[in-house]
Amino acid sequence: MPGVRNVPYERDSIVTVTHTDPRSVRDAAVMTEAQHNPERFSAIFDCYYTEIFAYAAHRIGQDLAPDLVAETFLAAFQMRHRYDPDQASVRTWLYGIATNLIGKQRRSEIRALRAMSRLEVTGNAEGHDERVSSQVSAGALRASLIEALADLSDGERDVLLLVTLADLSYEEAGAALGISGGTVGSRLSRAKARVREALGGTNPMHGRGE
Amino acid sequence: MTMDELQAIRDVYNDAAVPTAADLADARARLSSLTTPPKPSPGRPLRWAVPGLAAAAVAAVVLVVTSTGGALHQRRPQPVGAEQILLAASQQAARQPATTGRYWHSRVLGTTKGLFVNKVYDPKAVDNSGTDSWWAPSLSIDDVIYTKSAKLSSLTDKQLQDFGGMKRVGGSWLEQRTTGASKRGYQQVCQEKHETCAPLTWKQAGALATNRQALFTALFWTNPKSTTNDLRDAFTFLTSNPLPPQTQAAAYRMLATLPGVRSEGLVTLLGGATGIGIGTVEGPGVGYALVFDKNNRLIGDEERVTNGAIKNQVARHSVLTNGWTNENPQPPA
Repeated sequence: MPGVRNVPYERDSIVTVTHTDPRSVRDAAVMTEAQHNPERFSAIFDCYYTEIFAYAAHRIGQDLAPDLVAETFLAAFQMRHRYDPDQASVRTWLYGIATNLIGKQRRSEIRALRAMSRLEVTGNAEGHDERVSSQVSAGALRASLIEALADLSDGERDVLLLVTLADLSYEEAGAALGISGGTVGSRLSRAKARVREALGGTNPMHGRGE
Repeated sequence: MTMDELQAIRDVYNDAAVPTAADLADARARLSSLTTPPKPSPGRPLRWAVPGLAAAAVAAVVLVVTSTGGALHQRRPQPVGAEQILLAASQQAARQPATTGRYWHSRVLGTTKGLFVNKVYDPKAVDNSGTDSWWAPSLSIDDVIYTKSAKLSSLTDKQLQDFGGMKRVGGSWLEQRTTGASKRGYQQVCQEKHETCAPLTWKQAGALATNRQALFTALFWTNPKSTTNDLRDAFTFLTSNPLPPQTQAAAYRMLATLPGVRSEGLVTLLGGATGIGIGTVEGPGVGYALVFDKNNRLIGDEERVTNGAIKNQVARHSVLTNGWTNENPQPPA
């Protein structure tokens, strides 16, 4: 509301949150305030926009991410009355909304993955043998790994990328997607098998064949 | 899955993915359009406005007008009633050819006399404002809006950028561009929320002609509801959306049903054009009228406010262009 000054609201480092950690408690309080004072929701936006953007950009590409992330926060604002702090932290909830919106752009995500795969093949031609870090190994297998990611079911990919890119715990990934922890576990297990198969049963950090 | 394998997946996505300043400003502005209470404005609603800046900018142009002593109130009613004029405007609109074009071009220039300058009301201060809007019904073509007002001109480039991505384009005009991608995203959100958002898509605008409830919602969006607010909303609606003839006609028919609307006599607009004011005066002292020419076309509006320390504040807008064009957007001269 006009005249109401937002309390400074600094973003914490990315950590796995529980429903009782200070940030989650503070976020929940802001969400409660935002129900009556809509402008308070801007604190949530300020805190998480960049993080959600990175997640979305990685999944559907930098071109489509701006709109999707804007939609994520618009949707979150519209649904703020339905937010339940007992079900998920605000951060987890936002990841869930973004993931659902990504779900409506599956084709874009697959296109982005294919583009990443092609990009890497081209790039490898010059500098492959210069890579010495763990990223080298991952890079060498990147194309096949990306293909594996693209071939995962939507649900499996959602779980896998919420855990790996967003650093959500199994419990949080389940909360974000509205599924049980058991379902998260089974999807991750299937995703793991598919990825390992694509990697030839190797540990990518140690190079193919080790 | 081991941590090494998780790291391998992270490495696949290890490229930098950070939003640009424009991405951030656009997202923030879109959110602000929902979190900030709407401000009644005689011009197009500033849906990209940033809180605070929006209030400041709108305050510069919103007419704080008048009491029962206003000229609108004092004018003698004309022989032709307001309802008849509005129904004639409806018939006139319905007779327009159902053409389309690349852009719906709307140019509305206004002048406000009586402004707050450094928080002090100056009855002689004048602000010449204007909007030159190019709305593309196609969601793959950018909308371009050129705006000018004294308040906006006083902002820094950074503030303008934050104010929905505005930038100076020469003279006192500012450009605000809405990309096709942003339009698509915005419309998608509106569709998912079962809301009709401005600017309307061509399809949405056409559907309003036969959906009275939807037309009512799109036409009168300001709360609290009052005849003054409804008329002000209508002016914006009719000059800020690509509207098929039948939708325009339906809008005028709906206006004809508003209570308390009457003919307010002749109004002289910018450049000396005159028309008949159709409006109302609501206490304490807010008068608003739509202005129609002799052919029953909407050519402008007039608003007066006298409220406490504010005396004789009046704003008038002239609709210079409002229709299809195949020209490309360019800043007004």
